[in-house]
Amino acid sequence: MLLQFTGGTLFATDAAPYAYLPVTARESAPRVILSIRLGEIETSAFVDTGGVYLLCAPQLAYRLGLNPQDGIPVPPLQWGRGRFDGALHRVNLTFIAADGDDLSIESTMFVPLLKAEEQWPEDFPCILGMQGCLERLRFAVDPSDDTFYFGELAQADY
Amino acid sequence: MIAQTTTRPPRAARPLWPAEEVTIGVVQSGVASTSGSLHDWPWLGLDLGTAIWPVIAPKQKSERRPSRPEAGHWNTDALAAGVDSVFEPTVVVTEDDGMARMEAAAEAGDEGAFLAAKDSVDWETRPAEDFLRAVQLALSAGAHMAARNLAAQGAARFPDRSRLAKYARILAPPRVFRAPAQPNAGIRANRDWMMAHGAQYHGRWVALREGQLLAVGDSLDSVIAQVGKTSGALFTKVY
Repeated sequence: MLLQFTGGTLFATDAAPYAYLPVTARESAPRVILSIRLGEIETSAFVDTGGVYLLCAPQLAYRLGLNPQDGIPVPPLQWGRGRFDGALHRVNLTFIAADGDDLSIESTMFVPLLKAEEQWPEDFPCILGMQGCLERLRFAVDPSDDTFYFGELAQADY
Repeated sequence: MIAQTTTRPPRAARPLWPAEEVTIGVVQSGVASTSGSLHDWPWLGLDLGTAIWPVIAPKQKSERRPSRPEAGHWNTDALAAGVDSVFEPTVVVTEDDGMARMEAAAEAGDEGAFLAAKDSVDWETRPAEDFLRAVQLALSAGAHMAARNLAAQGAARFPDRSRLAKYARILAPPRVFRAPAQPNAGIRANRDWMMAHGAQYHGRWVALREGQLLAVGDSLDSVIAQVGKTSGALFTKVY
């Protein structure tokens, strides 16, 4: 059932179901929402191929034990409804497979740094952006049964 | 300091340092005739409709012109012909001008101007501090690929600089690797629970295991506290 090229080489070796829902109360357009694992914590994330990096909600980053001083400080960037200072970290993100093996990505993750008076206004735990996160992953979606196919690149494709 | 010298080509009847430009853009049905998109500025909160509004050209903020030229020569032929623009300045563009333009572009969030300024700098001659600064500016300008490349280039040139090594490591292309595990049937059950019951818990945090609701709360911390551990369950805000 996994995807392959005409020559028989596998394109995607793993698959997972996704939920197809809007991610915030103010949006009506659905997103592809997957189960992922960061550190020990299994949570959900939606795919945003127009975005960059893996975005992680501050409370989740805190649970992961990330220290902002270990990352790259980033000037205020626009994320969702606000501009936030933050830091970039290198983390392992794991796609949890229902078929095949899990796949991990050592990716770049942005964690917003909130000031005392600020609240993280977004409703989602994580966002999977393209650069720094999905860019070296083969993936495809099958809307007929809401399946997200994924796989690693062959070495020659790097 | 390394300096590059370029000669500005003469242009007749052109003011040497024109006033800043303002472009008039026509906005119809939310589509701007200028570069970029109004959707980039949701905070405007405006009913776009059809309107004519002045748009400050991005280069207005991002192109910090060099100071008035200190050197140059008079074009005597043009002078004899009565052409009004007869002073042909020799503009000295220094490496620091390149950094200054990168700063201005980053401040304006103008990725295109940033990239142009970055390309004008001879990075083979720059110190490690400039690479670190340039990475920061690239991130500020939204030039994320440039940030990656600058970090990698800087780390390669200065292998003993730990901060550059850290920047290069964090910004490097992702590395994908297999993590063999038993297929997890529970995630399909969790997804089915979200589709069936999500509306009922919208906006709240939940903990799920194999399609069973373990905990509900207003924060990640509260559901983790109820479950007692972070492994073996899905912790998510309900969409």
